[in-house]
Amino acid sequence: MDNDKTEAMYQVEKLIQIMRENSTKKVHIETKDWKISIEQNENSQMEIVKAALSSEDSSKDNASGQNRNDLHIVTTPLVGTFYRASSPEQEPYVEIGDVVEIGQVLCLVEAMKVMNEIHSDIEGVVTKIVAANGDMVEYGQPLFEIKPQDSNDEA
Amino acid sequence: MKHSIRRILIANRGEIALRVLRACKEMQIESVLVYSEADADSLPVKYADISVCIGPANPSLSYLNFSQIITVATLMEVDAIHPGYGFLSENATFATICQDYGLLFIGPTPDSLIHCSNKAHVRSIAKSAHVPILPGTEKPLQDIQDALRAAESIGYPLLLKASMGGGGRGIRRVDSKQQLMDNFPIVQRESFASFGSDEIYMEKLLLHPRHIEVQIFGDGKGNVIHLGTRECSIQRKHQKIIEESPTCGLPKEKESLLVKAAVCLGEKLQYKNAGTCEFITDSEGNFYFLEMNTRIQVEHPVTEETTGIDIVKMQIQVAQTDALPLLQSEIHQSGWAMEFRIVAENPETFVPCAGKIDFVHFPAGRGVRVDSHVYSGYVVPSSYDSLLAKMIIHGSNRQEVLTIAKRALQEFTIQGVQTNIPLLLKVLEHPEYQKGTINTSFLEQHIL
Repeated sequence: MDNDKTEAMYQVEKLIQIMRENSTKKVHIETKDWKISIEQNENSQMEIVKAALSSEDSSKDNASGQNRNDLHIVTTPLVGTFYRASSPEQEPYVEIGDVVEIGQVLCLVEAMKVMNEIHSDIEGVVTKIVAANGDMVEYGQPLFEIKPQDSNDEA
Repeated sequence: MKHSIRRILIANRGEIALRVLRACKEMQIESVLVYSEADADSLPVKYADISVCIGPANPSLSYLNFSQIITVATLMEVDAIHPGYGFLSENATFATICQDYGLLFIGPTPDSLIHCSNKAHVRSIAKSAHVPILPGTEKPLQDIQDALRAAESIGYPLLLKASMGGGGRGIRRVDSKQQLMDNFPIVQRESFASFGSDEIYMEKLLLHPRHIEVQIFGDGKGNVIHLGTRECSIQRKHQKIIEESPTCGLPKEKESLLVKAAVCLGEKLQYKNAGTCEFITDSEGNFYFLEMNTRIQVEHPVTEETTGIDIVKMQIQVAQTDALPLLQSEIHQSGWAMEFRIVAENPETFVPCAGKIDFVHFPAGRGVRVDSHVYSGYVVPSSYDSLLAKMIIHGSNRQEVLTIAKRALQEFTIQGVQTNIPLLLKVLEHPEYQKGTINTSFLEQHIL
């Protein structure tokens, strides 16, 4: 995310330079990821009057609530014991922050000695692991929160 | 052998889940209830010590889902499973899996379940135990020629029945040779579609019989006791709606012959735990064995009221000890009891209806018991049967029961969904019903 910001800053600086060279007083640019308005004030200084992520409402209110609604919840289709890894010695299938693809194994739910692989039904970033390793989970219980890939965040 | 039961999993829903739950609480046994998404707001879910959602409304994904139920039983470290009635209660495969996982199945042995599930087979066992059966075929019918030959000797009218049938399905009446030829392949197909087997047999049709059954208990070693008779003749399309105990349809000496026959069959089967032998009787009091129900019955409370025995607790005790807690001489029936099944249905079309119960008020007072899982605000799911409540009336004699039943049914208030209470009142007020002259065609003949 920080890298993305740096990239945006670089582009804004470049934009201001172009505005100065062309004596432009006001500019508004929108990309698929972000939007920005820059104006020259009374002191001939360039000022960013408005900047926002394209996906966000321009009012910028309730940004976090909006994100929460965008989260995709992966629930268990069966009762059993929740395991984050294929065996106790193995690394967990996924960690918070991992990007997962559709069909990727997220965890196991053991029922009657059968290990059932639970697959991701969405592409995105794992933001929360709701169940704890070794927990008994019941039908429909949330296991993971995943932030869908196309809903922003690279800005 | 003694088994310790500290925790029971209840693999059922509705009023029977609540009934088992109450027995567990009174016995200081912990309860684990499995339920479907459609039952998340049900009373059993609230009352159980532990409730686990195992699937969506569709029973094959929840209440019939072996693997999910066994998984919960194992993870929750239960000692035994009570299957209630319907769903997995008579499923031999499920009972076997329970055994394999070291879980006590509160019911008959898998062997008994297999023997009794084939009606043609249990008929022949009954015959060998000298229990009267209707004239019919001893072996499954091979083909139409076989069926025609058998029909010649039995005589019309007769019934074609699916060997693996149940719940009133897979049965057709045949009045002539032509009808037999027309219906034989249809029953075969229906039987295969409903029960996975096209094995059918033939039985003489008894016109307008009474339906009388006997509650038995066995220890699995050949010792069997009975808890008297129940009369279940008030039916609509093979679905019982009013039951009573004892029967009012047999003279005392015939009734004692009937219960003896039931005990004989139970002994022959080395039956274990609670079971019901169903018979039909003709107007002369001759009785014929029909089938064996290998589970707790919906109508068990009428027997509980007249014997003072808690049948669910006795099921648990028998499972625990592999022994019968009572001798036959310690069992006494007193007074009379009737059960009225209150179901959600359209009174004109009899189509079950689902929906929200805005308000419910149960009758009370002397002699009135209501077993029900519904409450004001409860939404009746469309996925399951339409039974809302069982009203059980106990009095010193049949006349007193009729009097209490009438005023109690009038007090019974359910708003939001339609019920069969008006129909039950009509039956109750009919002079022939009051006299006890009833048979399985009573509703068609007098009410509908």
